[in-house]
Amino acid sequence: MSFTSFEFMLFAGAVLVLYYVIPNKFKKSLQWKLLLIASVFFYYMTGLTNLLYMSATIVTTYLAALMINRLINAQEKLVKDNVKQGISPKDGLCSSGGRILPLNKAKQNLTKEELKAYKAKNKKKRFCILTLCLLINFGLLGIVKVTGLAILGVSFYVFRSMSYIIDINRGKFPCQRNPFKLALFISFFPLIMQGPITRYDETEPALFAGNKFVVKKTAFGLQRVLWGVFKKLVIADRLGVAVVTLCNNPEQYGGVYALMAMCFYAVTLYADFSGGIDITIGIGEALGIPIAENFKSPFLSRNIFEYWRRWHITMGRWFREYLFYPLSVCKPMLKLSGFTRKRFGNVGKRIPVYIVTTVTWFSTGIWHGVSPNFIVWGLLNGVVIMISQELEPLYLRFNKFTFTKSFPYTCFRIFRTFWLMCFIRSYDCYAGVRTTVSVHLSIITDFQLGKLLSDGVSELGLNISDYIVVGCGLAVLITACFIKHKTKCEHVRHWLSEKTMPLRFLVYGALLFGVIIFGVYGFGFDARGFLYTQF
Amino acid sequence: MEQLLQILIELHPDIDFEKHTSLIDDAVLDSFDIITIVGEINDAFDVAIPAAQIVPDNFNSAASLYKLIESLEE
Repeated sequence: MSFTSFEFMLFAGAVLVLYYVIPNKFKKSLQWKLLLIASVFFYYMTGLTNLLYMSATIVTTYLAALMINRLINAQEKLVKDNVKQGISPKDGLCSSGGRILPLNKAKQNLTKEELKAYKAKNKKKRFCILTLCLLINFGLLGIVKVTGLAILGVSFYVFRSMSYIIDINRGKFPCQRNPFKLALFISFFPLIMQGPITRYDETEPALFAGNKFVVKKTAFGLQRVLWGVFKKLVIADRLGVAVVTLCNNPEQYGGVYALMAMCFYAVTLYADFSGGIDITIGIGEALGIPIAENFKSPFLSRNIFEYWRRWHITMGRWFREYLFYPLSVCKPMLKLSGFTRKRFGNVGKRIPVYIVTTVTWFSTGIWHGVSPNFIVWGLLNGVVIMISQELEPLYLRFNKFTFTKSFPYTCFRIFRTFWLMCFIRSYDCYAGVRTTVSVHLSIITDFQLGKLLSDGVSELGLNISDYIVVGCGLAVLITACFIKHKTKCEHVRHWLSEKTMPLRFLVYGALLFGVIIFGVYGFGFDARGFLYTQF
Repeated sequence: MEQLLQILIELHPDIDFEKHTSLIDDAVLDSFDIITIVGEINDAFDVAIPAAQIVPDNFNSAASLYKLIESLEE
């Protein structure tokens, strides 16, 4: 059931109606149960195996969180009692022979050293439980990736669950004691296909609050869904046909065609992925549940650092917070940092950071798929980031020239970053590393401009009217982006809501008719799945 | 505090760290800077900042970072 299918629209519409039909006094207790039933039903419709895999993640995460939480509470109580009564607690908990016992069973009070030892043992136990949970779930994810099993959205819900368990271990918030509520957080149907990878603390309050119907919120949500459907059906699914033709026939379409493929793929992937995320966020908003943003005009980035702050934001955040930082500040890395600094000076102190950067980007590549092209894609990102980092002093000196602040130079930086990312991303759209390299080389060796001028672009599976539709769709997209930046509003629909009713009706009517008339869909036509659901 | 300011200024000489209160929100400091700062603090103050404490609130200003160091020293 794709997000843009007629069945899904019916399903989401029915959930929305039932969600708000619940009387106010039962909203808090019933709404989340309805969402859970809907989510399980939705996921079950994609296959029973999918549901079984997800159940394993829910059960292991729930049990591990419960055990870790118990250990944290025990330690907190013991520390509190020690503060109250000096070093030795009279009640609370006590360690005995390496076991953690409730104090009513304890044989002795704790000295300062014993308390320290108790904390260390407690931490070790928590670490063991956390590691086991991570191993099971990342192990399952690894099996899925290596064997090529098609478990829908597995990368997203495993990452969401693991962020929850790591945060529990960090003591960020108490665990969810109701297994069904945790099951809803992990399986919430708008997030299941392609994220965003939300965190528990940012979703939980609204998910279980009991949300009253607010016309404005629901209208904003539905408008965002429409915007997402427009991006997907009018732009991505149409231009995607040309991308498939270009990327599946690299021998035939090298040179200038390769540049076209990279550019088309960038636009298609953005319209596809961000369109899907718009639908997700829109449904969430209509239900009164805010969902984290995943894109912030990524093609306006001036460098690769900015690009990764604007593209697939929640994935970048996950790797940064749960892999990059913990690895960078772990004791062995800090020791290595001290050693390399003493040995090699200022250059040396960056060695551990670069090791961690390489590991992080390698993992990001693997997350997308266990194949050489994704690994090369990940490592290339890491390499460009490290080179940029090394060149920073040079940039700083260069940026002192006044022309670097000018509009044309900013445009040049945006253009440069767009194409840099297009080249890196091409490892993800061609079949293999060797093919991608040969396609890159063809840009220098055999540009094929003559072929393009004589044959045109009509052989790529699209006719002239398709290109006009895509062009118009992109013009709408760029206009929306321009309005957003010019007015500095959070969302264009917020800005539009302040305009007159006829104008609003005209805009949303045009968007709806644009989808109906120019969208790629219909009976007998198999709408293309979202690209990111394969991850 | 002066020692901390020195670490920060060495990293970004062009920033007024005494006044800036949105170093993370304004993307003045990126993840590489943060890790470099954590390493320098570890050396200068003998304080290990755990990953859980690497959040915008703690790194948005020199004052909040100093407060974090003090709390970890206790």
